[in-house]
Amino acid sequence: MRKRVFLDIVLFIGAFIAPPWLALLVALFGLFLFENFYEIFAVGLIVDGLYGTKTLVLFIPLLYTVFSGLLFVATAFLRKHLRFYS
Amino acid sequence: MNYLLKSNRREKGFSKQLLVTCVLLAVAGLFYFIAPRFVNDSLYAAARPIWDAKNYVAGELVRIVVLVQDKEQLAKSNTTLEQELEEAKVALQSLDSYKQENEDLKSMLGRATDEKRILASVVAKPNHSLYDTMLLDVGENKGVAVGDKIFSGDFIIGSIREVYGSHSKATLLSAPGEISRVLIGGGNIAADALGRGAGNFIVKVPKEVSITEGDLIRMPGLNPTFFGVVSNIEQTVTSSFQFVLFRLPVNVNNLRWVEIIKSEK
Repeated sequence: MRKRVFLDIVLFIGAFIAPPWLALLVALFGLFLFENFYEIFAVGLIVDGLYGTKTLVLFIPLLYTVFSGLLFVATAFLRKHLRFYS
Repeated sequence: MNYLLKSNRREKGFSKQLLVTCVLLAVAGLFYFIAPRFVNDSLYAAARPIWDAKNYVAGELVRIVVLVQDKEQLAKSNTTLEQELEEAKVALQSLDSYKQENEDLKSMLGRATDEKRILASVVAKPNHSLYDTMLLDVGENKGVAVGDKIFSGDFIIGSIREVYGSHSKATLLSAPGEISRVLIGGGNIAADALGRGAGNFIVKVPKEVSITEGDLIRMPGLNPTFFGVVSNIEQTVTSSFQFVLFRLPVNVNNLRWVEIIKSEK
């Protein structure tokens, strides 16, 4: 629990000051480390809310939130199929 | 015989996570499109102390580094910088007189411009992000409006896309996919420049257009507004076109101040 809180603090500060890809990388680490790491959505929402505009990038609205969702689902799928988590 | 049983519990877990993802994305989408002002203002209010703390820590670190740096090396770089500054001052003096002359001539011919300039501080700029945007500390409170242009010196760097109470969001002209009309070379050939992110642009022009590295790219208009400096030209033997790569002479990641010029209505 303590580890997760520590990672959450790092992640939230990182979402504001670090490059988005770095914050998402840290969140990906959390996804593999902890179950149901919903914090990744917060990272996407913060980046989209602060820096995103109505202009679509790569034809996707809320680019980083959607990417966070994809990472979340992909990791859940991987966790289901990896022996390490069984 | 023993068979490995398929875990029904894990299957359910995955479906649940998929469902949660869809619900969260839908809720986020609703929030962002129904109440964008609320989301932006809340995030900005939360981010401001973090950015201030970051700037303070960065400033202190620079101070400490300067303290422990070699004094001799510092004195040497100081002398070099002073020399460069003197040269720049001399060049600027003549430039200022040309500018004044330009303004005088325009006013004599009845084309004087009375642009309103607003100084803005760059609060945040996401490094290495797909959003080539920057957050400025002025908004409706200073009369900023959507469409106003952002300048660094005589170089146009972006335009205001969203305005909130006390801050605004600007998109750089170099944002991936942004297209801007520019004038190239001595013949002022009009072409469309495509943004490539982080202050870089590319433009496709016929090979016959004479361009050299270091040439200024200008914006169409009465006032001299520059777009960038040619950094590279790519040509192939088979193609009848050439690709001109140019960039802003300022590093957008290091910008602390910009000027907002009100767009003429």
